[in-house]
Amino acid sequence: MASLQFKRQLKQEAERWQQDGWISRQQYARIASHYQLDALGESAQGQFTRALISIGCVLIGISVITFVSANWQAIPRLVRVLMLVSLFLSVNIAGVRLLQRPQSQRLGQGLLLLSSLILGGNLALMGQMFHQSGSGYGLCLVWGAGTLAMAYGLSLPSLGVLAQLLVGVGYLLWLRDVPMAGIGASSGLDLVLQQMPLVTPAAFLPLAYRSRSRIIFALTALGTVAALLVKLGQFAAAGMPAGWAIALILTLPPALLWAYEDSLWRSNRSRAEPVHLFRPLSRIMAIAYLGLALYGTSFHWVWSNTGDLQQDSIDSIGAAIAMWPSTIVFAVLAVCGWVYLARPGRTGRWGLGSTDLALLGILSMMAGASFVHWHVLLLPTEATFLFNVLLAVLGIGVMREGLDDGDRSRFWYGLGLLVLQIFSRVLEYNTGLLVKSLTFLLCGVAVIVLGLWFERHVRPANRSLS
Amino acid sequence: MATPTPLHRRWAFWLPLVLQLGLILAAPARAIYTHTTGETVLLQTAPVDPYDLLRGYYVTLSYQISASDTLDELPGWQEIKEADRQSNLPLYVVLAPPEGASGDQPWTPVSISRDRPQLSSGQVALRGTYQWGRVVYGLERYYIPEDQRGEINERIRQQHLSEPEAYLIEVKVDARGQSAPVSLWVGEKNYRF
Repeated sequence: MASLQFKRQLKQEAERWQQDGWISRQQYARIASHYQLDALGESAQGQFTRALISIGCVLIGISVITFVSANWQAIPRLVRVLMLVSLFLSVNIAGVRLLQRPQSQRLGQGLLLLSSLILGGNLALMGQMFHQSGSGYGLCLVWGAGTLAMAYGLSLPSLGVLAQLLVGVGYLLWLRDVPMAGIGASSGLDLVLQQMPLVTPAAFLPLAYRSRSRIIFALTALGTVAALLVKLGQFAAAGMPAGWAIALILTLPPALLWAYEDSLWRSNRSRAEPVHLFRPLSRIMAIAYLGLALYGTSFHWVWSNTGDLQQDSIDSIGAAIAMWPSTIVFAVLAVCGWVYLARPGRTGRWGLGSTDLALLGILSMMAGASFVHWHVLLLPTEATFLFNVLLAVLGIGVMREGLDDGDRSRFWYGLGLLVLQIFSRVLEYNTGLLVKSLTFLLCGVAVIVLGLWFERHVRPANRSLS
Repeated sequence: MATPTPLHRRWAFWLPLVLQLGLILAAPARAIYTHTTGETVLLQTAPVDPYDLLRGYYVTLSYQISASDTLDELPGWQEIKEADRQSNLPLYVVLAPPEGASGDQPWTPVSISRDRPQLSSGQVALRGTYQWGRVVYGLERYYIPEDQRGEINERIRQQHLSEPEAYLIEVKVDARGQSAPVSLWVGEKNYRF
């Protein structure tokens, strides 16, 4: 979406082009309709008036709220209910009316966001007025569901983000408040919360496509992964062998995110859209997760400190699998995703690209090593070494990819991972001060030289290509 | 960035709006249903912390039928406690009216079970949830009207010193075991909810 400032400049320029005869009247009209330049007609004075009106409205609103709260208890309950409901309805209706006019869309969106907040206030006040002490997580989830419905109806990303935050807070409160949150259910709400890893994408992914919002996609992926990790944690607590649990925690989320496929969702997409709407974002998240996971497991104490984690009972696997459908669903999805990645492309043969293959190698080595270490045979030294090698490979690989594509952020992420790894190892192992000093010096010089080289040569070369 | 809603898709706004309205009105509707169809029951209660009432705008009430001392004597309680992993599931406490005709005595718990029990005449089943070794009923908060906060606070404090068992809550319990509070008795004084 073009910024307001750009549109203003474009309008000014396009008018001049038309006067100078560079473009025809039809061409100007086409540009104007594409960028909605006519909606810009409002002058600075008009905007000032609108700002004054908004400030006035807010002040009047505050005065009404103060007046009502001063007399709140004296007002009969029925009147209070009517007041709350009519406030909610009027803000909503005003919001959607304004949304339909191109020149007041922002105001309309603001009002609809406000009405979603009023929805929460109303839910809480109704519970209070009728002395129903419901749970905090219940309130957040019901509020989030209502907001989500409106976000779908109007395809508004702002409401979608609010709904995501509410559901996330509700989930956290539920985990905190309800003992043994994974087992047993006193209501339908508990059933929904137990299947959060499945519910999150089901509820929010279609909205991400509907409103083409990257932030909603990112939050959905984040929420799904977080809920899946909670699930796997409960899985381990319920008697699943630690080897399985840790292997899944380390590799399932990045495997899923990397293999994420947009085209499954969009059978009727328009031609103007890119083929991969969210895949780049999903892959960035996969690499970020992988970097964190590898960095976290590159410390020696992670592998030397096993305690009594080693427990294996085949029965408990069966019981646990029966109890947690979402883990199975995501494992199957990840496998399907990777098979789909390897589908015959233009060459007509099955096979993965080199990047995919490298990543698959890293993931399988991570899963294999952690499974063997916690399930079969303790390998503290070997596993630490392997994970450090994998971390270095990831860092270098990401840097190389960044260099190839002239992508600054990926280059710096890879470099950062490498430097962080070297620093951590130097501080972790009790090396002499002289070695430490030398390492820091080399790291510093390498960062400066590599960074300068990248900024000098790769970026301009890439820019001149594009 | 949003596109404006076309007028021919008005349902896309009205449908969610009606849903949201339904969510808002669900709490009053349930309370009104329980009020109109429910049976009146008196329950023995006490404020959890009578010396620090004004932490919020409500009193947290602790019911005699929530306390483990009372529950320990009820048939069915041991099984529920032993199946500790099944926590957070609903359970039902059967209450019997006080003996004798006097209407100012609290009802007494008879039994407790996971499933809705068969009731003999006059009894009601109150639905609760097992949490942290206790039972909660969703009746634990009484929101104090702001203008009465000082007075109620003082009365509860005095009552606690002189006659601590004289707190009673009048609730309505409907056929599904759902409950809604009606009024709070502190000694002789009655506060409508």
